[in-house]
Amino acid sequence: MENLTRQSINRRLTITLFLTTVGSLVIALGVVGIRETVRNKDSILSRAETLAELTGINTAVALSFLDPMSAAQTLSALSAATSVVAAVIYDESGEEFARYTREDTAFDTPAVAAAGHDFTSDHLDLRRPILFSGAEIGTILIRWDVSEIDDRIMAMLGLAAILAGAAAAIAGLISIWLRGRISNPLAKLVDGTQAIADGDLSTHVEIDSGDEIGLLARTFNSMAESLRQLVSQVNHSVNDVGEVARMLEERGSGLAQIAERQDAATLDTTEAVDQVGESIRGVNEDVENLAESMRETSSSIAEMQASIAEVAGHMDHLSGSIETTSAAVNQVAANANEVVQGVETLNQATGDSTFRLEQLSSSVKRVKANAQASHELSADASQEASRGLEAVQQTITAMGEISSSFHEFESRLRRLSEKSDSIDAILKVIRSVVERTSMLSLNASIIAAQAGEHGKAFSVVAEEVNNLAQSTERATHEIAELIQAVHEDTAAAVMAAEEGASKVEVGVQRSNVAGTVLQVISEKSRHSAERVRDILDASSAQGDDLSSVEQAMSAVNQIVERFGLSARDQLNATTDIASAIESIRQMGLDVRRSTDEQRHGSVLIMNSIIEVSGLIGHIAEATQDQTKSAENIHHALEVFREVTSDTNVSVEAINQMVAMLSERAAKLESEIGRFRTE
Amino acid sequence: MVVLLGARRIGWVGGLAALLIATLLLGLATSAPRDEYELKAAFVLNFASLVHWPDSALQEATTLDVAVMADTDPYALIERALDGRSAGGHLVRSRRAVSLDQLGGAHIVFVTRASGVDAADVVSATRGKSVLLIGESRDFARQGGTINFYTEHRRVRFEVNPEAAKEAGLRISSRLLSVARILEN
Repeated sequence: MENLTRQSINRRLTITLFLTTVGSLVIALGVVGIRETVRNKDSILSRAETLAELTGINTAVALSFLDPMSAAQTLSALSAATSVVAAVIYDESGEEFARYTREDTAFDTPAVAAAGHDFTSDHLDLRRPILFSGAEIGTILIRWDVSEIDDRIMAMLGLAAILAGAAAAIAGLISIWLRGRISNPLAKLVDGTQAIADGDLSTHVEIDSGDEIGLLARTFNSMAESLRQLVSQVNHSVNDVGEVARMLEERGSGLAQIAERQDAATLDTTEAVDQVGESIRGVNEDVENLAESMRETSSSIAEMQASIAEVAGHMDHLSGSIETTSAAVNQVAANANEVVQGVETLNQATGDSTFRLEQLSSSVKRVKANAQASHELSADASQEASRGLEAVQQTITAMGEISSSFHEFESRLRRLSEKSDSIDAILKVIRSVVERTSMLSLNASIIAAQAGEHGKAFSVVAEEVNNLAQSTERATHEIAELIQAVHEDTAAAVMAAEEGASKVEVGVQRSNVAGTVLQVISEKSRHSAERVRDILDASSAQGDDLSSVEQAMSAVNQIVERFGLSARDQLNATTDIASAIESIRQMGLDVRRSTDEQRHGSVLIMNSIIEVSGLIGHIAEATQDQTKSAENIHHALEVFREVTSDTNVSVEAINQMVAMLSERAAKLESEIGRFRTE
Repeated sequence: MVVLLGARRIGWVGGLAALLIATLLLGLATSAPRDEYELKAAFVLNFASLVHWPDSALQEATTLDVAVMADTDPYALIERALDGRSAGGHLVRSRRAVSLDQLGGAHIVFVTRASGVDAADVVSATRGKSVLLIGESRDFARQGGTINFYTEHRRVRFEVNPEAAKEAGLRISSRLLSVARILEN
């Protein structure tokens, strides 16, 4: 097949030459032959006509005088015309009058026919009228031999065949010559072009001639040289781009890892913060409960104080009553009715007192119960306070962790920011590579255009390079933008982290404050617990006292009853009454003392409670602040997580871009690799 | 000619044969004069085409005058063949001449055998004039006639006396001479 391609120009030229030569020959000979044939016929015809005319004239007289011999004699002169096969003279009636035939020719006289001529393949029959004195007296027929025309045509065809053979030989010789001049150099060029298409740019075509083919060879060689240079340049650039892409890939994966770790740390932090929040809420609840019980205790104590005041009042009243009773008793003797009335009054009074004592007892019981409860609550409060303290400690620890996380995070962000800067530097490198690649592609396009047909394949490559350069440029642009975004996001994250850190600091401080407060609460709770215990004891004592009072009261009641019963009878038993009253008075004094003590104690309790309430208020405030801080931290962490995930996305995008770039660079590398420059 | 000799054995056949022969001869006899003078008249016409008179004797448009010295019947035939025809571009007129003095003004004189006129007389009568003398007796041409008919092998032939023609101032075409017997003196 290759041979055919090589020879086709040659063959075409040969065939063209041959066809042209032979064609012209054939046409020329054909035209000439036909003309000759026609002219021959015409000339033959005209000669025959002339001869017939002359012969007719010459034989007219003989015919007119009916002298066939003379006519035959005249006809015999036709022997001089070798082409005349025969001649016949017909008379008026169409009978043969005289004839002539060429030597050695058989001839049957045809019947007479009208004047005119007939051409057959081998003869011409020409008939002319014979005129004499203006009248037609007969017809002459001359038969002319035309086979000579065929002979001529045959001769011509033979000549044409010979000439065609000669033309073929000449065409063959010329084609051999052409092979050397045109086909072989062209074949060399074809091979060279194919080699370049296959990638071997080191091809060089050796054709030394001054004509267009030599020029083509020189142009081809210079084009190959340009291609070599271009391809090696592009190769370098592609290598650079490949390296950059690989670097970017590594960095990108590093970034991705960092982002993951960030995200995990953030998640942990969020959880810790949530836990802190939870414990703070727990503390808050406990504090609320404590406050509630404090309020209850406070109200109970107020009630207690009120009842103590009431008791004190009642005691006063009782003292008063006792005094009155005493006076009255002193006056009992004086006035039995008044005594009876006074006993009645006393009864009533003691009844009231009993009732009041019962109330007091119950209220003291309540106080006791409350004090118990308060004690328990204080104990609880103390416990809670210590638990709160624990929680706060945990919070502080957690805060400390958060703070350290934040700092770590901050430092990581700073490192990330730094890395963005280094990425910036890389981008600059890529941009310069892109510029160079663009220029190269431009050069390549120009050279490709110059190379024309052969450069088509290469211009495709140049275009690809250009495309690569442009997409690289686009990619770097996008990467720059992404990096910028990452920068901004990182800065924002850093800021948020700082904010978070400072908030965490505040939180830590507040937690410390809360710790201190809780500690105080704990202390105070202990104190209050002790106080309450004192109250309890006092209340118990009081209770005892009261019960003893109660007992005494009942005894008094009994006595009074006895007195009342035997008042009428025992009007004189006033000493018992007086002593009883004296003991009552004493007891009253004791009670007074106890109630004073109690009041004092309850005042102290109230103060403690107020203090505790105040502290609880502080705690509530502190826990609220802490809750807010925890929420803020949570929020900040959320934001941070968002930022981190955005960063993640950006990093993903960068990674993808870089991967694409790597791919493209690799592809181009492989395509360029096809071209060898040595 | 079959001559039957002996009368005895022939009888029928002989009589029939004689009758046949007689018819044949009669036919020949009757046809011969018709053919001959028609032919000769046609030949005379031909001669008129092949002979050139001087302008003094015959101009272009002039009628050719043919005097015929013959009996009535042959003349009728001759006249029918000649009169009104054209020859050599001239109209031909024929007339019968019974005496030599009637020959004046004729371009052609045709003397038949039967007329009995002597050739020498005719020659002398037309001496000095351009007259084509045509006869059909044996010595006609030798005696000064221009053309003389004779029969050879049953064919009508003629002989020409070129001297006589020259003396008469007539030019005879070579073509005519080529088919004629030339009389040499």
